[in-house]
Amino acid sequence: MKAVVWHGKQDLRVDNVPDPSIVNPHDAIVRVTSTAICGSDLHLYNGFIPAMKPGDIIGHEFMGEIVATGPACETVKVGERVIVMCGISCGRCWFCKHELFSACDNTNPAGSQAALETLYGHAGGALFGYSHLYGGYAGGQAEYVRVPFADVGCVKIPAELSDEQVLFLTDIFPTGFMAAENCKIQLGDTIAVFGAGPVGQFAVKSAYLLGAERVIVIDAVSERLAMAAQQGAIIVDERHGDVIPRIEELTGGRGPDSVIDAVGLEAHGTGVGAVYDKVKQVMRLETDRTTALRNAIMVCRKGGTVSIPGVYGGLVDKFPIGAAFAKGLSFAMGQTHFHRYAKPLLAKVQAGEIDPRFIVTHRIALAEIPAAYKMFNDKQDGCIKVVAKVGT
Amino acid sequence: MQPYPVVRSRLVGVNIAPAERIATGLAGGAAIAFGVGQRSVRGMLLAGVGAIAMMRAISGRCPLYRSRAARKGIQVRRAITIQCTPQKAYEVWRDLANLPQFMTHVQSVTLEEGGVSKWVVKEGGKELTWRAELIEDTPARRLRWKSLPGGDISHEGSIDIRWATGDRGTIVEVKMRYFPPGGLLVASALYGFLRKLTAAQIGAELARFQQLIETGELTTGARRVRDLDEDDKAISAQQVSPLERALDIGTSAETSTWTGATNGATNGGAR
Repeated sequence: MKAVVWHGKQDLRVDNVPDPSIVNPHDAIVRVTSTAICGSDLHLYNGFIPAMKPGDIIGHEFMGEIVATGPACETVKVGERVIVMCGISCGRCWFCKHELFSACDNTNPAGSQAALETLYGHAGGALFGYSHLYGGYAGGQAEYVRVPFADVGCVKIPAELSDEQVLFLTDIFPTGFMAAENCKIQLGDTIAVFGAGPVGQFAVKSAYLLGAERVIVIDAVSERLAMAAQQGAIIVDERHGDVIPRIEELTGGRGPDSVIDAVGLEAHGTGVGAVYDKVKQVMRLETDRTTALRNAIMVCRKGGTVSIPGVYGGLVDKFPIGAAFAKGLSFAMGQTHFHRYAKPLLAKVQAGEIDPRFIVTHRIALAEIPAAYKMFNDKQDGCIKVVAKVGT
Repeated sequence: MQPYPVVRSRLVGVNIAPAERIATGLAGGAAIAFGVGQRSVRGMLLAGVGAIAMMRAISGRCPLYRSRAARKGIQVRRAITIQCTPQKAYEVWRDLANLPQFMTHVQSVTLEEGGVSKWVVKEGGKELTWRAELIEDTPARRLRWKSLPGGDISHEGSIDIRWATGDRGTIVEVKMRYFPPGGLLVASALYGFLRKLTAAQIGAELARFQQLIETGELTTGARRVRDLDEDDKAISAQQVSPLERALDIGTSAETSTWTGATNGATNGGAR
């Protein structure tokens, strides 16, 4: 089969690789019909995620048709059209039973678990196509994927919905939604969203769905700001100088009730802090750049929540913990518990409350994915979300 | 599932606590001063003892502590919390045939007469064997075992099983004490390494034990059945350095064609 293979930093190729097979009893094989490039895939592309190995198949937003099932599969059936949650969860451990699916105890193999325990104290669940820290599972930018615990991770899709309407339920829509849900939105709330990438866009949508009065979006890319504005957000362009005074002004000096950091460890940022982070990251003294997170903490109102869907992987310094303490902020963060949100959000799509297709800017074929990474990374051609059609 | 904090070893380096060093030094100094002041044979002997105490205080290394620690062997404790009853955890562990499934370096465990089990383990390409006897068997509570003399590895261990609080399941705690070939005094420089290796190995075994009980399968990132052996090798070898070895777990790049639904499904089954 053909698959997008990671060969090194900014070196992706479409290779011919062996097809996957059923390995464990709860596995299924999915023939991919659509797959997307996620913002977090750029962290792999740019070599920020450790424990990648040349030959790894990447991609974690995908859907398709079940073509084989293991002997222990009960609900998934060959021929069904499904979306596949990008996190892999067993559905049986304490964490899965408590809907903390991304903290699954069992899906990360013992080897990856030991590595994550060294880094983080405890190991969470695995992800498709996201390094050997997260299980070394082959990803979804491929023609076929082995899907472990398929009964837990696959959600059946009604025929009347198109691929593009449901594909983002595998990752970015639940991620934006959980980010907004973590803000515990109350009547009259103003929510600020740093980063108008795909997750930021879904966070805007979700904040309004959950009853936010106003959403302010901060970014530095014109077409992303334009898309946010189309969704009814008030936009703040980072290129026009310090964003904090402008957000203060928009909120009557009070600060937003909650702030979402949908940027994560590759924040571009501006000013002295951004240069400091960039230098330290290049010198390997600091793994993550935190301009967005620092601004989020500084601007959030007293007693508000800083919600972090953006990915962080390692260590930061100059983290304003004093400001967070002094203002009594709450933090909510972490990998999304995808399985918790897929079905409720699918119902919203079916009911017409939201049409996720608004996010797609580029439609390509599998073979064009490596070039699309470069375009997405360089923010060329108004690129916000790339979807690849696979197979026929 | 972190290893418990390391109690600083008496085996390597400075092995006397600061307070004890100061006390020993003061006592030694007093003995020297008093002994020399006596100007007698007995006084000189006392001063000699004082000098030895002084040396012990200054170096911070006590050979007696060291050999006593060597007799205790390498000790490791690790625990895991599993969604099952204590009875279930006990039964799965008690059935020797299950052990090689989650102890991937164990080739076989067979039962001999008198409740003695024979273990064959493959470690770094070498086959090691020993016999062990069960010295305590309390259903749903505790198992303790000890290796019999004459095997390749001398060790003793136990698992303690108890309910966790609330709905958290069952805690399984493994305690192992193990004596490397050649004696620990010889291997004392490797103490930290051996301890880490043992702790990592037990940690991986417990993780797989949990997978087996909770999901009925052993988790793997392998893309195909044929990649499994390599994967397992990598997993058992990773215990040397988890992060580095994690880089090597993965799939090989041979070519084959996917054979479709029916054939694929028949390849299933827990290993």
